[in-house]
Amino acid sequence: MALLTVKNLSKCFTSGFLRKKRRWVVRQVSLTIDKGETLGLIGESGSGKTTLARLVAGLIKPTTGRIIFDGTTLSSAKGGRMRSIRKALQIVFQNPETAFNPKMKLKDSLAEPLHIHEKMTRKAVAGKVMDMARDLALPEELLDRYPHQLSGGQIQRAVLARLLCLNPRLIILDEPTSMLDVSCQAQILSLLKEIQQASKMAYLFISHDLEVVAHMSDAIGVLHGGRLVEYGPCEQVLEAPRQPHTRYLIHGEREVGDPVEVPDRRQCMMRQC
Amino acid sequence: MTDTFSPIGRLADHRLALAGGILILMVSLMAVLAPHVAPHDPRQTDMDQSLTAPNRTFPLGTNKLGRCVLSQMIYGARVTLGVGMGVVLVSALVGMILGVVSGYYGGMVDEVIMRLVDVMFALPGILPALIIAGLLGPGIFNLMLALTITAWAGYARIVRSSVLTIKPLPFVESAKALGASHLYIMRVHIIPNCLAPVIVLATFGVARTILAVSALSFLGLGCQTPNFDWGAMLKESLLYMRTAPHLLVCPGLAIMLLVLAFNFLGDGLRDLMDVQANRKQKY
Amino acid sequence: MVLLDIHQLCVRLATRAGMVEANSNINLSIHQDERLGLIGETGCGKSILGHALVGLLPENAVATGKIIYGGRNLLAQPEAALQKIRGRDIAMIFQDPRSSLNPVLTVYEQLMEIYRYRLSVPRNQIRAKTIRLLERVGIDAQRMDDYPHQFSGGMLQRVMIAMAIAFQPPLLVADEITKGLDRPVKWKIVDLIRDVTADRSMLLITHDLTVARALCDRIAVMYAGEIVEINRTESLFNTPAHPYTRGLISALPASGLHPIAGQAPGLTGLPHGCRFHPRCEISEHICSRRHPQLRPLGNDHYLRCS
Repeated sequence: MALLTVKNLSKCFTSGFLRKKRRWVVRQVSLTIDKGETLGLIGESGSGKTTLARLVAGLIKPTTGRIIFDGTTLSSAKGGRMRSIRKALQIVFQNPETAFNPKMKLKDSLAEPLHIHEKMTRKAVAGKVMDMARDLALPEELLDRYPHQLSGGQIQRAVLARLLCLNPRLIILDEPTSMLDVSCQAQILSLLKEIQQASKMAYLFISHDLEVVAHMSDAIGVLHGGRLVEYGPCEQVLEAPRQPHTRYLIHGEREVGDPVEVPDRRQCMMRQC
Repeated sequence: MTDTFSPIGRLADHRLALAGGILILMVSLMAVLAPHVAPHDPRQTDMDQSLTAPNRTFPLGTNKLGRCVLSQMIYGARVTLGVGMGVVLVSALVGMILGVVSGYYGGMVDEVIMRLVDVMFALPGILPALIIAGLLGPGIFNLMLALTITAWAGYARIVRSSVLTIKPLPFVESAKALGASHLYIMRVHIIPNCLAPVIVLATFGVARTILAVSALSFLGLGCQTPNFDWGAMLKESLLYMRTAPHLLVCPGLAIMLLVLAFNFLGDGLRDLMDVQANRKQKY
Repeated sequence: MVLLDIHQLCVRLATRAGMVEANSNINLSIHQDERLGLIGETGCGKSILGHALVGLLPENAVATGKIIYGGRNLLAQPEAALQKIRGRDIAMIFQDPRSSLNPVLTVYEQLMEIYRYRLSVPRNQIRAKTIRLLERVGIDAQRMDDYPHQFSGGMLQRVMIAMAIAFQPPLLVADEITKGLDRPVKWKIVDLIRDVTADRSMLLITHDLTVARALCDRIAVMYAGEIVEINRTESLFNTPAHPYTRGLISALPASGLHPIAGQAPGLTGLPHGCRFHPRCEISEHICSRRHPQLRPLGNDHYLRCS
């Protein structure tokens, strides 16, 4: 059974006086993700990808359709079951600048999941936070700093460190590297791959960068106007796209007929940092 | 050049704010240590010394009943400052809680609270406080109640705006995704990030409240003799304006200086908060 | 012919942690009709360099060295002279168009300001010139009465480009103008830039190597406040000489996303000797002792490596 199943998911935002104006942001999206698999979602801004990310993360409620995680429908999960789902299903956002509370030091932000879920003594919390930082190569002196004193790459690492301590099984990544430099991006992506290999983590990787998605994903979905217009295994979608929008995204401004290089996965074994 | 990075250093650049802060500190100390600082018992009357001008024994003179003006002022500072700060503290707290609830939960709760706020804002100036105080009768407690009831709305509205900007930010959503309860999110994430405008507003609020207290006492609705505050002292001085001007000048000047001090401090704090909020540079 | 010559530029910033050198001994020239790319990671000082050229350094900055333009050292000029140069001779396109445009003025109002107040164009010609400018950057004249929030990121960037070229400046400085844009939009902006810089020079500051490769004639690579390599674009990508340049290129998605080991040093904790040596795959003992100089290797190629 798949780890995550999304069935006919739709979301509509209403606005205006008497809530008359309706805007369908996500329409009839269905997909599945298995344990240890990465599903990449490509879409431009405005295609509904961030809304989809938040829907799957359980932050907003769907208008129609269902999200089933590990056998439980999200909208009907309550109390203890919801708490354990929250631990297992996590999300990473795009903008590192607002990823942490600006008034809290990094070590307090990292300790947040421990405070929410476990009852630990202060010393135990401090120890665990140090472990978290060490596992993701964050130097100790960063722990006493505030978010605005850290670089984008360091913040995204810290975000990952924080949610890893809950042992999630599926992480939704909403444009995690689009605000980072080329070299930072490479580091974070290689880190994600390491984590996936070590703990069979599943990812829902959302981005507008085709090459990055191609590199990370086993299967790809193409989101356009809130609809999933193309969906299938990575190589198949990239080499033989069926929908015109997919072709536009892949070939776009390049010479027509010049396909995206699908990197050979064997060649891309990451060097250890 | 002052160290531009420590907050105290920056405040020091704003010299008026610093002067205001120091004055407030001094007045507060004076009020707290009143029994030790005041030269005489403010309630002690001495008809022989009625309406004397400032002299060696009575540095600011005496009033009609021979009471020392300076001592009255020192004890009166307790009321003026105490009521001012007390009202602001309570109304800011109430306003902040209502603002957070309103902004965070939205929907019907938000509508109801905001309409209430609108009503409070529609009422003109000091009039509602006047009416309430008039209905409840004179006395310190009623005065404070009246002023609090009319003051919370400003804080509620400003806090709600802050909450609306903070709530959609990723770190709040992350906390939700981590499984935090609403109360946790409000306590740990929302409130600390809303405090800045509240602090500034509160500082100006104390200034306004002091003026309001003085006005209401002047009208006879606040403290009654033998308790007094600077506004009540002003009231008493009216009859003797020509013969004993010091009775008018001293409390009047004191009120003015204290209000100015709070306003300057508020200006400084606002500039300080602004800079901290805008200081996004990595350098 | 050299249009702008940067000679031994050092920019120091007064920070809480003491004086930090954001730019160290920068020597760079921009030639006439040349597009020079300046690439590097966030925090390497490239943005500061761009700001130094237009005299918009932050208050806590101290700049030494020379920036020679039109026979004058820009660093020694008073603010009044700099105001004349800014815009007319050297125009800067900033990074985030949403915060660089006034949200309460329409796009037309913001553009026509230039013609009306700075170029003193006669009243009856302002409208026509503004419309022509908008069309030059590919914005439909019908949208000129819209407000910035009604435009998408790509369109706003076009407005910023319009503002920069209104004066017809001989030198454009573009600071991360494609950051955060979707791929198709990004390449459209690149095409536009190529078009408008056909007859002028440009300094393109970016961390996006593919954009730099598409647009620039020469590229300078910056690391930790220094320039570590300068070369013609194709030579740089085909035969990168400096290990950092090699690392950057192999970190591209198209090359397989290989990360460079370690983290960029903060400007307060710079390593001794070569600033890159802790992360360098070919570093030797001497690299931690001696700080290499930028040496010319012939053919417009400069390298800072022992």
